[in-house]
Amino acid sequence: MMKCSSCGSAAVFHDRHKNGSFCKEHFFSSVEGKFSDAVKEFGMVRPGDRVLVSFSGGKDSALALFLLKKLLDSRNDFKLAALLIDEGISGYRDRSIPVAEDFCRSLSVPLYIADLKKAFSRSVDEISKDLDVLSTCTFCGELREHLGFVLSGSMNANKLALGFNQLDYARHLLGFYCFDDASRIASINPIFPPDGLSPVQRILPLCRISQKEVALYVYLKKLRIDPGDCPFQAKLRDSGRSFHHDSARMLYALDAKYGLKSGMLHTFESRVAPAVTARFLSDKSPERRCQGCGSFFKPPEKYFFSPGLLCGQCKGSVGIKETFE
Amino acid sequence: MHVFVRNGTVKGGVCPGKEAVFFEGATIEALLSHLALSPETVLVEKGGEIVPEQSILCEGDEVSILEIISGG
Repeated sequence: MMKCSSCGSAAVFHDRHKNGSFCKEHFFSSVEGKFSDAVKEFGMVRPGDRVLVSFSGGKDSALALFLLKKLLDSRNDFKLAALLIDEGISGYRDRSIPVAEDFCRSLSVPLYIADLKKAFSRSVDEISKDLDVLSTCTFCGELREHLGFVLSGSMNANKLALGFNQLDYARHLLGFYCFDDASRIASINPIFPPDGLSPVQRILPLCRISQKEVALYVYLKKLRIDPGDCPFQAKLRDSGRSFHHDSARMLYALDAKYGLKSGMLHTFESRVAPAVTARFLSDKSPERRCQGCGSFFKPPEKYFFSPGLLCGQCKGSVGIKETFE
Repeated sequence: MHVFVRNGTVKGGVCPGKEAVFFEGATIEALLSHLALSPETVLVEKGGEIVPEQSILCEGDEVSILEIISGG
């Protein structure tokens, strides 16, 4: 039996980069420490902040919400709520929304549910009829990201927390390189945009926590997450054409040998991010700003909506009237 | 070495049935390598408890491999 390096109890996890083993309790402390360190390092949550968690009901956003609630309980100097975007995927969201509602109720965190169809005139089910599965997933992600940002602004939140774990962080960065999307490289910073540029900053509080650590924490804590799988994501996995999955396999191999934090992500944060952020800040193109909330994010394809129209009306049009007080 | 493997997912739990797997080595890591699985993509239970992939296996052990499903 492998033993915890700290207390000698049965180990549940071995960190190959630290060459240390953790029992259940020390594993929880380790994950919570990585979360706290990232929040402090990047100044993600400051006194008076109004933090909205983009919550899908899955393991990553559930852990982000759970740990932010723990932080709130210890500090009590910011506000916290969750936002779930109902994409209109039959057989999926109708099942997962009650689970998400239960989870938020158990944490005493308010949950707001937005209807993607009301914002963009078409549900993801309807969009999928015109697109292949890869385009559907890409488009759904873009629409959810943009809507989350718009709603954060209209709900008077100043931080939008995403449940990106370390792998998600690394593969988005890699994706922007691979697809020559240099304009977005700066946006993958764990906090973005820099202070003072936008009413809402996007934060990634799980950026130091690996996918396996997220899954293990959620499993051992018995956090109730959505047991289902998005049918489009399942199709995409089966299609064999998913950059998301292909890049994950490559990054697992790199991480096992070299570590993501000490290698790729460290280089990005210490060398690349300052340069691309400075370049980003010097680009004043108006199309880089959302017309409604002023955030520094390029809206997705204009085919589906008029950015001005969406952002001007989003508060009423997607069924959310509440705001942080 | 041969062990018995049950498959499942972190979200959905273990599926019914188990299969005998023959492989070279004595650790869960070796078993996962034989099955072409990355340790980062699964949790492994032995005797009802999660164990690290460096754990030693014995002949005839039964393990559950729970796949971590990530988004699209």
